Parts: sequence; structure tokens; C-alpha cells
Amino acid sequence: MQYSIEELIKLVINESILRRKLLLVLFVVIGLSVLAAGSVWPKKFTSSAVIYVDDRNIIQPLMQGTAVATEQRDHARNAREIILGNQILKNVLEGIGDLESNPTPIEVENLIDSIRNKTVIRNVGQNLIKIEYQDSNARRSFIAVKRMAALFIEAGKEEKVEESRAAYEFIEKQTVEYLQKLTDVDNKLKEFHANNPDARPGSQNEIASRINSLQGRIETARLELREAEIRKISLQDQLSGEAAITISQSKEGQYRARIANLRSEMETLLLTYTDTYPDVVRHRHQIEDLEQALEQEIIKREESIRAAKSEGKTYLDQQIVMNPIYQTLRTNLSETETQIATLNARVKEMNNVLESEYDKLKRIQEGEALMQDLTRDYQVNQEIYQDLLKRRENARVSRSLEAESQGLSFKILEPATLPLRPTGLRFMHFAALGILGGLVGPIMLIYMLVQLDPRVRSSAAIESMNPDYAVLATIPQYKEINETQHLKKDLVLFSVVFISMIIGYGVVGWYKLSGV
Amino acid sequence: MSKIEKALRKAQSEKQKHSGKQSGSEIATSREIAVSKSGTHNEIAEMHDEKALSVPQMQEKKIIYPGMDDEQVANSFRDLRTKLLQTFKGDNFTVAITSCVKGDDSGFTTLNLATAFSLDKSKTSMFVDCNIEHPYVATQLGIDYEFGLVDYLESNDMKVDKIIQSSGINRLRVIASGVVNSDYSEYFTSQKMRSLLDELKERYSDRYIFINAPSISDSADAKILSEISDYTLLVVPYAKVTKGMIEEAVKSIEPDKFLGVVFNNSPSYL
Repeated sequence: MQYSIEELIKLVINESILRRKLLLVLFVVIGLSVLAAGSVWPKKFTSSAVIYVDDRNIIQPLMQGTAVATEQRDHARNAREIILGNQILKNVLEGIGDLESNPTPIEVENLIDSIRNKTVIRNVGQNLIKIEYQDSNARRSFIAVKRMAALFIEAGKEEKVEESRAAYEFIEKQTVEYLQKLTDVDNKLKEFHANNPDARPGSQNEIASRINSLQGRIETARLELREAEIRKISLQDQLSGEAAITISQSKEGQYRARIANLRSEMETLLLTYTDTYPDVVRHRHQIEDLEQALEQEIIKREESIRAAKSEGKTYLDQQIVMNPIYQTLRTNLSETETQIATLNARVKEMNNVLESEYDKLKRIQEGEALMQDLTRDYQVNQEIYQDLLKRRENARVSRSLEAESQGLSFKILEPATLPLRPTGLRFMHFAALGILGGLVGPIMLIYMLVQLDPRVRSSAAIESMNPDYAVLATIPQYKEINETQHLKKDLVLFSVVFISMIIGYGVVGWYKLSGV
Repeated sequence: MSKIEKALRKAQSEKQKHSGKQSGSEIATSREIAVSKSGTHNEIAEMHDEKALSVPQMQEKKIIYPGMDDEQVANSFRDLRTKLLQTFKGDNFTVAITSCVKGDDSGFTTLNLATAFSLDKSKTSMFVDCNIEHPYVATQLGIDYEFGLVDYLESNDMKVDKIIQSSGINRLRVIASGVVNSDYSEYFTSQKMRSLLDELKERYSDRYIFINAPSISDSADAKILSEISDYTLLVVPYAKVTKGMIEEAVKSIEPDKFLGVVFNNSPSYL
């Protein structure tokens, strides 16, 4: 039911007074049961020690820069594993004197379990662990923690020695492994060089320059060739031109010259004389004869050209052959032809050489990648190997240090002390709990009843249901006869019970304090 | 216009009707006529009970009385009385009082409301116990009676005088429930019951009739009684009923007749 706070308080108080007998009974029951619990509750003494743990793993400084350290350890868990082991706990049992009665192995096991349950080991800061032990006896608790701390440190030292030994062995193993790797790569490199003699450093450059010069030379040769060919063509042209010139110097030419001469003489004569003049007639006959001879000469030449052609030879007039310029040109031509042949042969040869140089370059490039891989492997392995060699020496020193307990890494920061005061719930707490709980608890029950009970307890609640539900009157409870006296009596009864309860707690508390 | 005002008008018109009929009625007895409507305040004030209850008896029987230790109860009944009188503007009326659940709550409320009216020297009140199965008034007040309501309704010629008892409280008269019969529920629907109520109300203009009806959840009588009386009060006892039960109870009362709720037995230590 929903009530306003004011209503709620009123209702709780009214209900509490209405059910005062029940409240009184509850108060007595709660008070007495807590008193009983408090009087038998064992005292607990907690002793504790704080230990500093150097968490620098021995392998960490040794491998710094080379290997990545594994994640930080949980020191408390580590310590728990060591301290709560049977060996140390048995030792603790001995220390607190639980083994004096010669218990059976099962009893020992149970005792160890009980110690395990009463021990708390936890991290209290970076690199700090706290060991706590709780016991009903202060002295036992003190001794137990003292022993645990001492035994833990001893075990830790052993572990440290073991750790540095392991570190040395690990590095040693790694060194051997890398040496093996290095040798392998070395062998591979040797094999590669044997198979690829060309693969010297720089050989690639050498070949490249050779190819360059070859290409240059081929280019020059080709230019020369081209030049020679042009010269050849030009010489041939000149030779045929020379032939045309020389024709005019042949017999044919002489005839033509004489004819022309005679005609001019005849024309001069005709200026003075008639056609029948003997000189003129003679000139005419001479001209006719000469023309006849010329004709014969032309026929003769054509015949010989034809004859030469049919034999596949160049017709050369005797006079042409005898021409010195022609002779020189012919000599030059034949020289040029020889030169062209030579150049052609050279270009071909040089192309072959270039081809083979290209092949060689390709081979070398292929081999180079493999060689680089091998060389890199070799360098890396060599670096690591040399580094490991150094570290192995460091580890050797560390191992000797640990063996002589020079590298101590556990310290007791706060030694165990004899606890003077019990921890946990003390009788004071029980007294407070019993009396306050006895008062508040039942009232809380009433509060819950009022809150949870769906039955209507206020007129306002009825009116809130429906505006038509007018509450005309709220009739208070008709008090019984002597109700006031009853109330007074109950108040007295409650006061008596309350005071008796406090006295009860006081008495039990005093007994507990005085240790009876 | 409020619901109460509406009801009031209706009540007044009905009353006028009834008084018309009443004039020809032969039911009134000679003794009653002597103190009928002409009766003065003095006469009523002198209506002292011969065997008046002492204060401890009142206390024991849970009846309010002037000057009681715990005046809260008496005052709350007085307030209720004032509210009812204000509502009816001085006219007398018949009120049926029923409860949500079985118990003495309606009997207690009826008796004390009747008592509150009788505390006023100018008024008289009448407690009619219609809760036949669980009669309240006779047992609570320890009245030794011969005839009750049931006897009257059953007989053909019984006079009303026979069943009116003195209560031990001044100006408060009582009609006890009477002997239980198997099919008693028929009684309240009868014309005779109506006539009885009319007669009781009409004979004295300052007599207020309070009917103790059985609880609504318990019996159909409550509804019938609510119909034949002018108004109905619903008693809701503290921490005994849920809202749902209240709603149910209000629903079964005719809306025109429903006056309101009386929240009873609320603890009042604070």
C-alpha cells in the first residue's frame, strides 16, 4: 500500500504499540540469541607480514632488447602456490606445536587444510605481498606467519638460483642453435659461389659497361657501312658518266667533226662558186663518204654492244678503258666493295657478342637475389650469435652470483608481530547488534507489514480510491478498560526487560574480558 | 449539486408522501400518540431510563458517554452525528449501517452513533438490529427481551410496543433481532417492514432510526435494508479489508443511498 511518509510513521508507531507484546518477545529472542552467539564466538587473532618481492626476472635483464619479457607475474598467487604447499604448511604445523600429539596422516591432512583456509595471501601494492593468518590463539598466529614468511623467502631464494641456472642454460642452448644456423648459411653461400663463378660483386657493372661499348661500336660500324654503300653507289654512277664522255672521243666523234668541218668549207666555197665547181663537188663526195663511214661505225658499235650484252659484259670501248680517270674510279669502287663486306662481317660478329653478354647479365641478376638472401641471413645470424655470446658470459656471472646468494630479491618489510587484540567480531559488536537489532529488527518487520499488507490502514487511502468514497468519520479504537494502565505496565515491563538485557550483556562481556 | 444534496431532496419529497399516508394509518398506539409529534423537548429530555448503565458498564460494553477518558472516540461519533444532521438539515432519517466484512464493526458503529444522537437532549434514537444471524445489541447490552423484530414481522397482530426495549442509555430505544427462523431473509422485503420503519420514523420528528445491517459480504439483507432505509453508511474496519473489497461493497449499494464510509477501529496511540 502507498502511504505518505507522515502516515507511514504514524502507522508504524501505532502498529508497534498495538503489537507491543510480539515486539517484546522478538526483542528478547533476538537479544538472547545474539548474546548466546556472542558468548561462544571464538576470539580471533590475526598476525601478518609484508614481503617485498623483486619482480625483475633474471632472464629479463639478460635478454633485454633481444627477447620480449613475458607478462608480469601475480606475486600473491605465486606466493600462495609456494606457501600453501604441503611442505611449508607441515613445517608451520610443527612450529605451532600441532604435531606434538603424533596425529595420523589424515589428521595431519585436515590440520593442513585448516591452516590453508585460515591463511590469506594477497597483493598489497606493486611487488608487495601480505601474509595473514587467523587463529584463536595469538601466539600460534604469530609463529605461523613468522614461519611462513621465513620459509617463503628461503624457497624464493632457491627458486632464484634455479631461475638463473635455467636462464644460463637457455642462453647456452640458443647460442648453439644460432651457431648451427650460421654454419648452414655459410655453407650455402660457398655452394652458391661455386655454382656461379660470374657472380662476383661488381660483375654486373662490368658486363653492363661492356654491353654499352659494344653497342657503341656496332653503331659506328653501321654508320661506316652506310657511308661505304653510299660511296659505292656514287662511284658506280661516276663510272657510267665517264663512259658517256669518252664516247665523244671515239672514231664516231672524229667522223662527225670532219663532216662538220667539210660542210663549213663547202658552204664557204658555195658563196663564191656554183655547185658544179670541182671543189664543191669534191667536198660533197668527201662528206658523203664520211657519213657512210660514220654510219658503218655506229652499226659496228651497236653490234659490239649487243654482242657484249649477250655475253653479259659491259661494252667498253677501247678508248674508254684506256681513260686514266676511269681506271681510278674502278679501283675506288672495288676498294669500297671490299670495305662493305668487311663492315658487314664486323657488325654481325659484334651482335653475337652482345647477345651473349645479355645472356650473362640475366644469369647474374637471377643469382644475385639468392645471394643477397644468403648474405642477409648470414649477417643477421652472425649479429645474434655474437650478441648471444656476450649474454652467455653475463648469464654465467649471474649464475655464480645467485649460487652465492648475492642477488637477493626478497625482503621482509613488515615482520610478523604478536597480535595483542583480537580481530573480527568482538563481544562489543555482538552487544550492539543484539540490543539495536532487537529494537530495530521487529520495527522493521512492522514497517514491512504495513508496506506490503494490501489491507487498508488509513482513511486517506480509501478517499484516494474514488472521490465519491467520502470518509465521514474515522473512529479511533475504543480503548479497553484500564488500557492506559496496561500501557504503563507494559512500558515498565519493557524497561525491565531492556535493562536486564543490557545487564546480561554487561555480565557476559565482563566474564569474557576477564577471561573466565 | 452534490450527491448528498440530491439524496436529500429525494428524501424530503418521499417524506412528504409518507406523511400524507400516515394520517390515515391506524398503527399508532394510544400511548405513543400521547407523546407523538406534539411531544415537547421537555418530555423527551425526561425520557430517562430506569436502569441506566453505569460508567464502568458503558466502558465495558464499548459505549461512548460524556466525559469519558478517551474522548477521541466520543468526539468522532459526535462529529459524525453533526455531519449527518447538517446533511439532513434537521429532519429525522433512517440510516442502515453495514460493514465490508463480518464482525462487530457495524454493530459497534450503529450503537455508538445512536448513542451520540441520544446524547443530544432534544433527540431520541432507535437501534434496530437487523443482523439476525449475529445479533449485536441484545448480547452487547445484555437485554433480556421477549419479542424481537422477527417475532413482530411474523405475527399479524403484535403491537410495536412489544418489541421496543429500553437500552439502559437515556433516549435510546432498541429493537432486538428476535428468534432466528429458517427463511428470515424474506422479512425485510415485506411491506410490514417498510411500514414499521416508516412508523418508527414518523411517530417522532426527532427520532433517528439506526439499522444494524449484516455485512455486505455476508448476506443479501444488507442490500435490501439499504433500499428500504433512507441512507446507508459503510463501515470499513482498520486493517481488515483490501481496496478491492471496499470497491465491491460500495458497488453493491445503490449509489443514491450511499452516504459515505466510516473508518472504524483505527489505532490512535499517536
